[in-house]
Amino acid sequence: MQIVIASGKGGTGKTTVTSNLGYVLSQSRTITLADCDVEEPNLGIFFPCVPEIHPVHVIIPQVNESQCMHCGACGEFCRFGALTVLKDRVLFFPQLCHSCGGCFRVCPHDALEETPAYVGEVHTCHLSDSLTLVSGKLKEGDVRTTAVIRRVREMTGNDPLVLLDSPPGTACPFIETVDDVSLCVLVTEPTPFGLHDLSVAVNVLDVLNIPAVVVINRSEGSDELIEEYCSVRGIPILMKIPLDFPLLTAQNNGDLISRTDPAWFERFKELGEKILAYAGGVS
Amino acid sequence: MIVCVPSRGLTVDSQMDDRFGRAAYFAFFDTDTNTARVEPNPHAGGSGGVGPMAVQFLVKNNVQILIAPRLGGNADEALKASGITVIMQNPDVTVQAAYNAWKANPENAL
Amino acid sequence: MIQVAVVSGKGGTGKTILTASLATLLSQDKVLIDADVDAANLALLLSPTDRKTLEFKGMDGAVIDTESCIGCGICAEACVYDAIRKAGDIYEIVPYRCEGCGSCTIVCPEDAVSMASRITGMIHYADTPLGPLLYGSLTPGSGNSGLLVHRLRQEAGLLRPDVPLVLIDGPPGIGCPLISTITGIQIAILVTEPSKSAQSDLQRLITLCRSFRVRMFLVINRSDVNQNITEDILRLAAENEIMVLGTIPFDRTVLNATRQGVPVVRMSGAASEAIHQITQNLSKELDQL
Repeated sequence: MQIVIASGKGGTGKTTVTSNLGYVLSQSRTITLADCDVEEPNLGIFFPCVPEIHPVHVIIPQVNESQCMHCGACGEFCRFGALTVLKDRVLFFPQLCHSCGGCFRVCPHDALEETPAYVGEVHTCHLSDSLTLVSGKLKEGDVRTTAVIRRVREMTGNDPLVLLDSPPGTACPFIETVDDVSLCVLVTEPTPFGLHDLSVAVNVLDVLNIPAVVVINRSEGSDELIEEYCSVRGIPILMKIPLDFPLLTAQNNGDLISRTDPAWFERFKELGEKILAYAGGVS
Repeated sequence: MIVCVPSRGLTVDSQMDDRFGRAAYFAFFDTDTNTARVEPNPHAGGSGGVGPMAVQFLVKNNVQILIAPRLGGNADEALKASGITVIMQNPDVTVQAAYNAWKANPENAL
Repeated sequence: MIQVAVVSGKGGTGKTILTASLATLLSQDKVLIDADVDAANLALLLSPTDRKTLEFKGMDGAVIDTESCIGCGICAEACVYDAIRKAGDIYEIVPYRCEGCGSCTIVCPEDAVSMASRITGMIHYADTPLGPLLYGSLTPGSGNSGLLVHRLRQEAGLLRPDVPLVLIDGPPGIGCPLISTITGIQIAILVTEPSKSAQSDLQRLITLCRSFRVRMFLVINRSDVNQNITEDILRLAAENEIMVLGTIPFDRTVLNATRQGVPVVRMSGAASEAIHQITQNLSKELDQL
């Protein structure tokens, strides 16, 4: 079972929720945490370890100029503009290449060679018998975020229970993370920005046909903005996590509050059970 | 030789286009035959990589000189590699006027 | 024209709130861009009057002609994005996974696949009391955020080619949309907060901005919440020769102002004061360019 913790808006507390849920749930069952925020992965901060490192490569073309007849077929085909065929050579723009593999198919002269390009890595940590952390990390400057997310998902796809920490946003990286999962837990904050971005994320989940539930983070008891929206859209609010300075301090310092505070352990345990129950119900 | 000017419209009296990769049309002036033709830019509506695609279109049309407004990084790189000479021109003139200005002073290359 | 982008790496550090306040206090004629097209919030603080919207077409998408499809599945095998799935006896495109590469069109033995343009978002032009605002929205399920950011910047350039200042509210992350935001800008204002996560994210953003040769300034938001990490971040800035424009203390008026839909500096309070000072420091630097 795959469950994503997402938000649309950045900074609402996805990683705080994922890290604590992971710790708490691992006390009673086997769970994998997958950090899909490959541009800025942070789950590992809460679970220090020495990881196994798996490089992620994509396939890009390399032009064999001795075979190339400069016919222009690859340049005409590539919709991303990554190949430009000049009179005497072919220019390749790696930053535009999407590794679709089409150019190899259209070249009539076998002049393009499949070449691996490093775009990032996946770190795996077996933290205990019941808790594994798999984190994706994109190479700075590379744009192939979704390729690294895909690898994280491939490496965790067969695990019995996976909690995926989503990147912020509502486009390709989010979609790659959330496609085909059982449930998406949207962590929001009771502010106008929180509401706006929540609604964008919900609209995307509708298109992908993924069920959603909401957790309100940093609640101070006046959450009407979010409650009204969820009521109209028929989205259950599973929990309201109160604004709590000890929680913020602990998490900001890279510590898991549920490890040191029994009350918070119980709170996250309750949230975890609710999420699993809901996910079991909708799958 | 062929001189290319990006154009907003279908004729050489149209305003020069202030874009390259997304220029609506390209005008091609043949200095040997003293003729001109204007073609739609096949990649004008493209979403990405239009600079290099436009360079490829110019190469296909045997362009040697490009009279251009401003260029993006990828187009710039592709043009340098292609051997096409780029002449910068303020685009608030007609295509014909831009060509005439170059013809009057062809040594004024970048 | 000077282009300034407010970025962060980590989400939620206060980019939008700072951008709105900077826009209010900086005296130059300006154009505002909200480049966080996935979740555009700047408009919520600037009382915009929408003027027009333009359709944004991203990459063309594949379309399978249901009558010609013989259900061989060759296209699905060829698609590296898993964007083609079986649907009964034939195959169909999963539009939110299709990157528009066109590989399926060349492998189909029946010529049943073609490419069609698709509207993947909208470009919004609005007037605000502080200047024109351009922002984008994506059609739910669409990608191409980076391309939309690129278009927003192009449109801003066409709208007001001589404007002295373009102020951009950036997206989180260091991927495509962020890269489209910082390409060709002169100044990046990095907004961070004192947490280990934000610090880690900031480091990656600095590495990226450095490779784009963008001049960086730093603002630490909610700085008094953790003095130790604030000091670590100040050390990081010093090591990287990044000038610190200022720090902003945690202040409830920030949320009040946001709830009322106004920039923080329109109210008084500790955060407002700090941002006034930050803007003065920024102004001095902008004047020297």
